[in-house]
Amino acid sequence: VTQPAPVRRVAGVRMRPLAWSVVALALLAALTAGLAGALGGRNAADAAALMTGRTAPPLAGSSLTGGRLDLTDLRGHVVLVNVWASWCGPCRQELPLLAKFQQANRSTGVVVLGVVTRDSAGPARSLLASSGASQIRSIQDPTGALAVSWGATGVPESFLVDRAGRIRARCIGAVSPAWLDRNVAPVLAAS
Amino acid sequence: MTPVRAERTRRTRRAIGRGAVAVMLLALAAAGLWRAFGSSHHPQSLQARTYAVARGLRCPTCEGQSVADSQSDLARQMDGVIAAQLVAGRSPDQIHAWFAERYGDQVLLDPPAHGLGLLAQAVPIASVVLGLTAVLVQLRRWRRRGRRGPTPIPMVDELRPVDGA
Repeated sequence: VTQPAPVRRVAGVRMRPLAWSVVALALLAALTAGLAGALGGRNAADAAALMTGRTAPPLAGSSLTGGRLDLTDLRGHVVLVNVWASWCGPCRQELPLLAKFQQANRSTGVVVLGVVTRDSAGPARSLLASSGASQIRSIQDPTGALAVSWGATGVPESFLVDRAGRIRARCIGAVSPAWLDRNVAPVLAAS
Repeated sequence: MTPVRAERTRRTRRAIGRGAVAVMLLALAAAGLWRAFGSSHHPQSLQARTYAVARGLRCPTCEGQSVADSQSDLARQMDGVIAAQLVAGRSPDQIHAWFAERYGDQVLLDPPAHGLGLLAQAVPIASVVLGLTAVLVQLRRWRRRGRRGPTPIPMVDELRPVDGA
């Protein structure tokens, strides 16, 4: 005759040892999954907000036309720092929009400052000319070190810097007219 | 040569042989220790020092790869920044902190022991401790039962007939 397994009564609930083990394993699995999600899955969600609110890192170097450009010289302007390259497809589509945006907002003190990353000056200048964006000034970043110092993960990527030199918004990927409307107006209004 | 003298010579040779083996073993151990700690803590070339720092950083655009292991464009850019900072005299910890400021704590393969990082380190340790405790408790129970003989059949609620059944 088979005997029933010993049964325990805990908080009014009868639990067998096997059931306890299953519950414990399930809890551990849930905790592990939660931790993995919290630690590993934060990248995409928090990346855009990571640099927001901080003082803009130093940004200076040679321009595509041979002069020197420095973000600190633009203090008092609202600056859209745009990391781009001529070999990047979305950047090619984005540049005409940025040129129009700068033209339309010139009177309010908005400036687009490019960072040409891991690219040569020749192809970059050609793309600006063919996109009707020659008025966008860009700093050369042949090694990508400047992009990394801003926490960029790729191209294109944009950072909106307010008149006091603080990063107010960040866009990973190409900006859209809606993103510009949503983010630039509050920064202009606040400064 | 007398037998006594021959025996002494044999003993002396054996002692010299043992001594030589001991010296060789000590030399090998010292060389191993120097290689394990001395050389890795103070890598000679800039490339080796860059690699050592990059091994502690997670490539932000890769799945579970360190900057040292990844071939992505971003990882190569980060390599260049690490090398430049090492040349500038910054320590590996300072460089890791610099990257964490820009890419978050998740860029560190060994997250700092606070917040979720601390939880991530504590949970596996706590699980192992709890598991070992459970195994020890169970083993003690089995021992006691073994001493007392067979376990009596428990009287449980299920064995009682249900009213009206």
